[in-house]
Amino acid sequence: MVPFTLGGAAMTNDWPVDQAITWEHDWEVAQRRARDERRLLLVDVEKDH
Amino acid sequence: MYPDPAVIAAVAAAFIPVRLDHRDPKVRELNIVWLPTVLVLDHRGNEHARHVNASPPEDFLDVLSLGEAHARLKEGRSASHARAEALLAEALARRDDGPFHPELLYWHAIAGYFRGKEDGDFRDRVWSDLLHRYPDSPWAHRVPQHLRGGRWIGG
Repeated sequence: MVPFTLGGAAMTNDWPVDQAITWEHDWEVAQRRARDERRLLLVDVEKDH
Repeated sequence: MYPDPAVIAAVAAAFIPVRLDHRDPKVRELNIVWLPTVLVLDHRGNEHARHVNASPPEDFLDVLSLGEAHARLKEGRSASHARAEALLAEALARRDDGPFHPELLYWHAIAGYFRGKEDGDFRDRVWSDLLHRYPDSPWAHRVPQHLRGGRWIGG
């Protein structure tokens, strides 16, 4: 079980750790990857990461 | 929405996911007015979708489909038009109804029009379906006068 939060509430899910989104946190790296891998950027802007 | 397996798969298929803190200098360029905000951009920084606040996974999947479809439409190539049409058709087939269905139908008509080398019959068929199913939707109100009847301003 992997803990996470959504909307401030503590929750759990029941799929393996490796089935999760791996976020980039560096804009330049992400932009370069998007260009090289011919993908789009999914940009999530939130508070306090 | 992100822990959902279908969302994880959709992100992995087409996107580089980037999570930025609202204090990141890059965020200032993105004109964010509310948090959380999710954007679909291409590597040049062109924006193709903007979504504010968290959503149920099934709605967020539609946001991803719309964002990718808009990006493909703007590429202007025949294969890109076909990809956009397929993305929107897949999104519409995922469930019978949803809050993004009027918007999905509106753009599906346009993507099919371009995919079919200006296939006006396809476009009008899908727009007629939009009018029939969601007559009060703002997206139905964008359908041209010859399909809607009545008064129409613009275009």
